[in-house]
Amino acid sequence: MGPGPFASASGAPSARTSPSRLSRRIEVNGPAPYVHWGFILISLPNLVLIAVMVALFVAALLVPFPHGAGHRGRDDDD
Amino acid sequence: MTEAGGEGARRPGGGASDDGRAGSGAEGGWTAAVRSRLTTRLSVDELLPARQPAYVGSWVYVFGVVTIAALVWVVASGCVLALMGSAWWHTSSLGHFFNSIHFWSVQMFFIFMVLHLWGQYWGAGWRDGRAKTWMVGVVIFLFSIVTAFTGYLVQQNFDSQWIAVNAKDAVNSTGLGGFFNVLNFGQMYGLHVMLLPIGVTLLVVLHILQVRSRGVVRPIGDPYTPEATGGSRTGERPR
Repeated sequence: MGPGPFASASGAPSARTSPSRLSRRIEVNGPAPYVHWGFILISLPNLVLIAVMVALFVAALLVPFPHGAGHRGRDDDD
Repeated sequence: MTEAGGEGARRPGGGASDDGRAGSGAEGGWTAAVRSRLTTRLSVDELLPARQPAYVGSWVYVFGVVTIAALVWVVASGCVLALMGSAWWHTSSLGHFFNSIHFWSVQMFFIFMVLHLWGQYWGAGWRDGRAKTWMVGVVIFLFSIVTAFTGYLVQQNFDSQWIAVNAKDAVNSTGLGGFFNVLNFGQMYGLHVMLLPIGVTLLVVLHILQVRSRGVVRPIGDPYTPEATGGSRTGERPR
């Protein structure tokens, strides 16, 4: 496994690339936790990403689209 | 090529006819045939439409264009990385920045491509003569996966070595190892920075032209059929 995103070239975290508060709370330099549910085995980051994508897709269906000037613009007036 | 206009045909505006054209229609050879086909299949009005049908006013139709925007960032940051080299992107702050831009724009590219795929799948985007558009989209998806995979192989770090050593067994098991050697850095780098990106970009351009030529597919159950809209290929609703 590589040195990870927060390690410097020497391998030790530098002040410039020190972990953020969020990354200290979530271990980003070790293996990801896995969710095991029956035959489904998926890493937590992948599960979160899929959940976010589903939420984004549902939001795209439900959130009204702002209609600009082109919707009822000059073309509709003639 | 047919020499329809004699000397005038070889000199644009050379006076082969009153309007400066060397020939027209069937006499124009393959260039006229291509022009005629393009004019029929893809007029400027369809290529750059000023208006879209009302049903296009949905966030679902934004996923495709966001995917294209992400691809622009991927290609632009990739050009910088290719220019500067692996020592730069591994050691300097600016190199880390562009490396991250490249990585995260690829993540955005795939996320929004999949969201676009979902939207087209559940909206049955292949209807009304759009099967080839769907097929090209599928090919873009497959090309993109291989492009991203070769990108993981050419990071020039321990991650890429680890991925390559593990992947060689999988690729060899498919019988493709003789043509696609994941341990051959030169081959993977050439594929990643040239052939595959060119392929993806050309296919995306073709995909956009296909979408423009037929317009955005009508929603399932939309009462405004092409017959109701006077045969409009964009399916625009009557006013």
